Amino acid sequence: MNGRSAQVGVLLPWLARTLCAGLLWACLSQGVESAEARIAVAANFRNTALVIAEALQRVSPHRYEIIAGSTGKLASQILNGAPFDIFMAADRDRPQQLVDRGVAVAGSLQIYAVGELGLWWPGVSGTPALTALANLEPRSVCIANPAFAPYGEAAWRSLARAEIDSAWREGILRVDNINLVTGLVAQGHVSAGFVARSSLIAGVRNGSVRVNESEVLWLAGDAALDQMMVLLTRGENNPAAQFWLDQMQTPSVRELIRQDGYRFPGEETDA
Amino acid sequence: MPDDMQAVWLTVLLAGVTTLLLFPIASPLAWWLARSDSKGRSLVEAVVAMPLVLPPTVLGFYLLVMLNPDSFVGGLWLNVTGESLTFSFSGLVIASVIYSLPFMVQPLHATFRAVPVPVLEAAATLGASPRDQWLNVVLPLAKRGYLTGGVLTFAHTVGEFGVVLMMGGNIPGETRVLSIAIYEHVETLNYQAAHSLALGLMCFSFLSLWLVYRYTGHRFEVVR
Repeated sequence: MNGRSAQVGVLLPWLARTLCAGLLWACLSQGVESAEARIAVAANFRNTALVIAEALQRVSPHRYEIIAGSTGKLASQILNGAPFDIFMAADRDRPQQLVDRGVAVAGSLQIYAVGELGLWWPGVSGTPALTALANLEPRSVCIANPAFAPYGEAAWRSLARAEIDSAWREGILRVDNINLVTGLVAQGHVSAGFVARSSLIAGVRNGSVRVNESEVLWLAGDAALDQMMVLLTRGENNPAAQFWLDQMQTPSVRELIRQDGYRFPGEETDA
Repeated sequence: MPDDMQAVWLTVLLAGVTTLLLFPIASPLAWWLARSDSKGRSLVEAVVAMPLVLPPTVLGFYLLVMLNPDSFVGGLWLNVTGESLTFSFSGLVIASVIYSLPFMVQPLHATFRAVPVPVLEAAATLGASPRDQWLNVVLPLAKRGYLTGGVLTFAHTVGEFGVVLMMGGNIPGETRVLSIAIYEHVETLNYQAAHSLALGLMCFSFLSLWLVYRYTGHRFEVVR
């Protein structure tokens, strides 16, 4: 009997402590609603999105997953049922199309960054010029595929405006997204390529890219890309998605975006 | 790197589930192909072998069309589970079962064809029911066929890329399998990480094939 009461004596406080801890945890966790959100981001914004996700995870109980790809491909995946909560495109058109197709929330459309396109031509003598590109083999000039990558579309428009022969233009190398262009130029697989300022900055930061500012021709004006984001209907009731959306216009997140080479609507380019 | 470990685990899980599902799916099919004199046999054989010659993008495209939430199958799945079948692990399992079907059916087909009919007849005269014949005669004789089919199916699923890209995308923990992770590392200039995974896959593929050839002989000969 004695042994048994001793056992009960040891067990009771343990049980009480466990119960108290459980109750406390239940109370606390009710106050903070933690959730997970999947953010589909345009390839050029991948690194920035990862930094933002890390920052937001530090100040909230939410968890974020970043899925990167070209804007057109991600939009098509979303239309085919991809389980994303937010779409951060590299253009205005695709988010609007998703709203029109009923898979995104109209009121959530916002420009989160303005990206910049440049022609990177390592080893060129003097300043790179669009018209001089025609002296290169078309296959040694690389762009993101204009069919589904907004930076490629902008590059294509710039080439057309520079009145470069259309047969030459048809022969240039098209790849999946803007990050690949940066890689191919950096490793010397191609002579020149149309890159995003953000991809160059990210490449320099992680050591995979060495670039001299004089090798890049920044294409201001029409080649500025309004990058728009939208809440997808799947994420409408997701507090993590809502939190991400709310934080995008805060000074601290804007600073992270600015550090990576983006501007905001209404700001002048410094190139 | 933790992301890569997740990709390794997801790939093993996908290949494992696919292989386990294909054992019961492919067995009756291979048995029928081995034993039937039906005129439709060559038709079925051709359909089963199609993933061997079709570009994965064709398969991926049709699966995307067939399984998306607006389709009958995809819509039904969405209503029942609340999740989309495209860009999900479940969708990948369905795709892999179809994509790897010939890798299981063909070795089993060869094995079953080599099971001598007199052996089965002898078992029947000794009173063995069809079930007994299967469990005690066919299965032991077909052991190597199952080993070959299992290893090839597993390895082929591990190497899947085009189909996943088309209808799975690149979602960590859900559809980001090894081949997709390598592709992403190359895209983001992380060649070091791409090398580690790619080398790992090379070794794995070699070991799988070596295992098959070592234990089954070159012609998948099963009955001596």
